[in-house]
Amino acid sequence: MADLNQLRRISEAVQAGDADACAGHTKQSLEAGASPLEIIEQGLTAGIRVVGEKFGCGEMFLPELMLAMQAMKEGLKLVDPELKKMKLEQKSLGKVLMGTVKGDIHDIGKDIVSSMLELNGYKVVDLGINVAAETFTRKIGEERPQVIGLSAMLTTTMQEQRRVVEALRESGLREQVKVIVGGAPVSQKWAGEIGADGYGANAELAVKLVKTLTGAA
Amino acid sequence: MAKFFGRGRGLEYLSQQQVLDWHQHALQLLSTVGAKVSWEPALKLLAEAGCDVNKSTCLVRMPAHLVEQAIRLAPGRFRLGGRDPATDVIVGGLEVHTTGSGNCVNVIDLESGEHRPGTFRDLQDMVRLQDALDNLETCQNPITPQDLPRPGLYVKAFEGMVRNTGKHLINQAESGEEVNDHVDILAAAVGSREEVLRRKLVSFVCCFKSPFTYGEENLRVLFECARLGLPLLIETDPISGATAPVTLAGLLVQQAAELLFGIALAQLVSPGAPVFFANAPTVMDMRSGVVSEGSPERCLYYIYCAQLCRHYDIPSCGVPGTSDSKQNDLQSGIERTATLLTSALAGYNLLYSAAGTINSVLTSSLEGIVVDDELYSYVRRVLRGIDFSSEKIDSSLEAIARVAHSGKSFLTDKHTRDNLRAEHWLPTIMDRRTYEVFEASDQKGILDFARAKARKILADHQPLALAAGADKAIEAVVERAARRAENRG
Repeated sequence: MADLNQLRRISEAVQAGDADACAGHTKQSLEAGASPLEIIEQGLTAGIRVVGEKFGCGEMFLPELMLAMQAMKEGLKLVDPELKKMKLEQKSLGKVLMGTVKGDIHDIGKDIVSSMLELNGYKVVDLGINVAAETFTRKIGEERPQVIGLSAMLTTTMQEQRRVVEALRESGLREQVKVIVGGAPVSQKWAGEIGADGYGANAELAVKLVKTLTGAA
Repeated sequence: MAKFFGRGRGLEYLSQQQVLDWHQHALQLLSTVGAKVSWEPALKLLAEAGCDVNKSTCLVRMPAHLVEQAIRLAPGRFRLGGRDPATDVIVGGLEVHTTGSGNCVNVIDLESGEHRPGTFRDLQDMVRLQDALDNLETCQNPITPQDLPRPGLYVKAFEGMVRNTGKHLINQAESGEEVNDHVDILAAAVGSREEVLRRKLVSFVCCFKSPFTYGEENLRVLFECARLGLPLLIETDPISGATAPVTLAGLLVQQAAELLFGIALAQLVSPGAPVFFANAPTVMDMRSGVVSEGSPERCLYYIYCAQLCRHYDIPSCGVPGTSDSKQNDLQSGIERTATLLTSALAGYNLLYSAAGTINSVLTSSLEGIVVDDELYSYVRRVLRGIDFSSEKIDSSLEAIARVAHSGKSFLTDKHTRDNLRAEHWLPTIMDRRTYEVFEASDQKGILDFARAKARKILADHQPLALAAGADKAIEAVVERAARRAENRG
């Protein structure tokens, strides 16, 4: 049986965005014999749920949300090996591959969307910035995501989003994944024009879009 | 303890010498042109004090030394107490404080959008709404209810104010007895007259007519308030080109003289009486004959008067944040923001009566009041300035060193989270959505958000309860006032 106080402290550490404290309490809980599932459900996820609610009603803000996500991830890192031993996997609504396209080094929008997706129960593999079309196609093979997200901040680099979609088509992967695009100059019209599956005007709508595309909505 | 809203930045146009000249010209007007005073006890008091009083014309010429003495006697700072002591404010110096909506006769209906006469119900809704809005610190009577009988109107309106807010109250009265009706209603609400007077829970507006006309009704109120020690908003509203010279400097000299005369009278009644240098100067629109409340001249009047009031060390009070527009639109946004922000930066002490109003302060609305609470919050942020302390700089330099070249952004640095709320203004009803979200939404911007916020507050908010047994005592005072006013006819 898990110590409820310890689980509460994990949840609070997530809410405070304190990664060190979250890792510490998670470790103590595991050593005290708590099950990984209890830690995830009543500690880590419970904490992030509070953050999500407060963010939704305007009481918490992006930096707090993102720090909370980081704290939760520190906890999950420790729980994951224990889950594997039990032949279990973390529950997830699906996997999303995220990256900022080649020639573009802007990552804040992508990071925000990634955090929001994780907050909503998706596993996100972040390929970082300046990601070439070939890297996307190669990683799709390795990671088998349901969705890939292409970020572009500049009117010049948004053209690269079209190239990635074309590369997917050429390598026969286009039907295996849904493609979403985002970034300041991008619009729904643009998404249609380049043959992507969707566009979200902000992080919240991006999550909604992914949920629709993965059948989770 | 008292609430802090913000500190003005002393925006100034005049040299010290020009301020002194302004004052000398005002003194000269009082000792030559003089004031018309139509109430015998006031004439008597002024004559005894050494003024040159002509009993047949009622003209009073006031010697400079009486004015100088009054400026010395008038307090530079005083408290405006609330029934809820946590809402007390202290006015004076460079401190800026605010008031809610004031004295309109019409409202825009929250649900139908109709422009219609304001009612007692509207008054109570507005006061209760303002009670919940933190940036509207004191409460002026927002509506002159058109559905109440005329006799005793202000006293009945005041009952509606007392029941719906714990903040400091500002109202008008028609006689000395009515001033005491106000005190008695508040005494019933808080337990004693002594408490009402000691904590100065109510102020009164004494608005005299330009040029230099001091009527009986307002003089009676002035005498009674000064005697009781209640704060007085001694006000004139000269109109450039109509009731004052078309030259703005001429208007300002005339107005300073008019207000100094009222202030001197209050100090003669009761040395040390708390008084505001209160004003709402305007220009007449020379095409339509309409008096403009939202002009750039209004900005200038307040910047200049703030400097003069600091010289006198007498708290200033004015009506910026006003608009001539007939709707809550861009014009009203321009006029409200410009007059309010400049007055606040200048350090005008009490920004009063304009919140939520349009139509030259004749129409108010619940959504407008919510919008102006947001605007006051915005102004408050500007007044606060930027924290350039070594502590802030040092922690920022550490954050820069940590984040730059790390491959991360400031968004996920703890420094961002820890300082966010103090550094960034966080709006409640400004539309900062993306275009697509706006397009898909039923809520089309600030007025829709404001209406939703107003509805929520009116559904949820309960003002501070009255003392036990207050209802009966208040009813008796309101009845007494109505009967007396009827008898007077």
